[in-house]
Amino acid sequence: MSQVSVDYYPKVLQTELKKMNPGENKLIELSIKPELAHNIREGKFYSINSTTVLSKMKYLYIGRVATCRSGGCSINRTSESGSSSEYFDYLIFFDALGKILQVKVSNFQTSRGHEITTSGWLSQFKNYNGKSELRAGKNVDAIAGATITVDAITYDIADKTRLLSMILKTNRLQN
Amino acid sequence: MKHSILLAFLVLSIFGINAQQTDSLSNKYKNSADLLLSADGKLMIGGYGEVHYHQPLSATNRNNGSLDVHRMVLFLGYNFNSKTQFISEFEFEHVSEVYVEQAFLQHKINNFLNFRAGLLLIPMGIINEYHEPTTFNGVERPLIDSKITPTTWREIGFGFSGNILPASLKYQLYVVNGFNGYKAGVASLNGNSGLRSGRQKGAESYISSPNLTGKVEYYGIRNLNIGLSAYLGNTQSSLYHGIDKTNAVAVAKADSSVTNSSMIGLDARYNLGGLHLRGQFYYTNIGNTEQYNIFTAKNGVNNNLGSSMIGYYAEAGYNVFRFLQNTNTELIPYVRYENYNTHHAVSGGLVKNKAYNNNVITTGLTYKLVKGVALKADMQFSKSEAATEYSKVFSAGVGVMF
Repeated sequence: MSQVSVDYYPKVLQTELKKMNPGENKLIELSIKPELAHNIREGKFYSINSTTVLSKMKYLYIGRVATCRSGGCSINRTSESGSSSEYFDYLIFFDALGKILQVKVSNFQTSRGHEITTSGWLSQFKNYNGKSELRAGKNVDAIAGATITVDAITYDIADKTRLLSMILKTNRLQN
Repeated sequence: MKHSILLAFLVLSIFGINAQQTDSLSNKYKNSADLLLSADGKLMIGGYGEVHYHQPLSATNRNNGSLDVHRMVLFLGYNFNSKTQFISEFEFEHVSEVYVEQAFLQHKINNFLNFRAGLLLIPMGIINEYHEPTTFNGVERPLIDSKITPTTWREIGFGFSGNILPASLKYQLYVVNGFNGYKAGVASLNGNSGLRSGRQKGAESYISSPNLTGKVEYYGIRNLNIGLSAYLGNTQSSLYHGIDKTNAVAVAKADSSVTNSSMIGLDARYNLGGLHLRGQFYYTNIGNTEQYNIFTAKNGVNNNLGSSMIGYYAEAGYNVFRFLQNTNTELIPYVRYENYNTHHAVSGGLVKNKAYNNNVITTGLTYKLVKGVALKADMQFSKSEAATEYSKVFSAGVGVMF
């Protein structure tokens, strides 16, 4: 059956973990201070503890982005996406410095914009570290007929990348 | 036919039972207004509209221009839960004509399979599904999307759609009602408008033979979307209603009042930086046109429906503001070449009408003020095979989507 809540261990994650780290991988959810946690509606950050020493993959974000149907959005945009039929779930793999290694879409339940799920389109976010602005149609390729979805994922990737660097900074200060 | 109806009934029954089991309905009675106000994010609202100005230009004659609120569409949707939603669009065309453009129920069976039933858009080509004015260049839609594929083309039906992410494929497959070919002594199809006047649009439509349509899109290559659409089936005829199945003469008469259509569409869209390329090809084969044209003769003159129609276009545009960092607006000069011919082939003694074979060049500007708002202006040059020179029309328009 169609999942309602976010699957935090989707098949695509299992495959990627195996591919990048053939050894054992442990996902440990990052503790996030309440003042930062309010930025996440449906998503979690993890650190990746791998037996493969050379693995670059150190952090992971999995979350849901509620979009809206082209030409029709929810009246109450602040509501949770639990009742929304238009959303997608995706993952961001980061290195130790919070730089993006890879983005993958694990579940796409949106009527338009399926082109964003391809690894080719998502590869343009590789090496992004949150320090610059991401703008659809400028440094992110626009897709005709999929403005809402492109804007949604562009915004969320920039937001979550910046959030991770803040979390890492806070954790470093604590240590 | 009976089997199709039985299948539809069974599918609807299964999903109806399923929906009752998974949704816990409150015992509290609410009217529609109560439901709207307490929707808690379940109600979706939106719309699009376009207002046009057209000015034919001539070196010798004066011509009046035309001004028109071409389309104003209100979208209403409701998410019953994360799996079941209802989508509808109410359209005012030319201010005074009111239509329902879409009205269907969608139920997610799993992440790869959705069931849809109701008034559905036929998944043919780009524009029939992506027809909001901010999604295409040109004040008007491409002409082949009026002359060959009758956008906005919608009929009542049911079927399945979904995305197969690992394969980068999107698919749709529906059983739908077909074109009205002949009703109460009136033929709806002819050489000039092709199949366009046969659309039933879900308005007290009737069915004598179900049609099948589908589309597969591949989007696995970055910034490229390729679509292959198909449509198959007979047109509908009111002459089948009430006839004795063993009456060979009556059945043969009804058979003469229908045609069978097979349409394919191939489309591609590609973006590279500020460059936008798109192309569309349609080919329609129409069978039984010789009998149909004779049967639907008027005053001793046979009808002139062609036995095949063709249409294609190629378009290129570039967002010249792409590298301006201090603006989010887009300015897209573009040019489109298209050709359509509703008499690509004819049958029987019908002679091809050269006026039905047209070349059209459209060039203009699309200025996207903000996301969801487009100002447009273009010049359209068109010439039929029968004409000696190009006719010219200047158009300007406003398009919004929200």
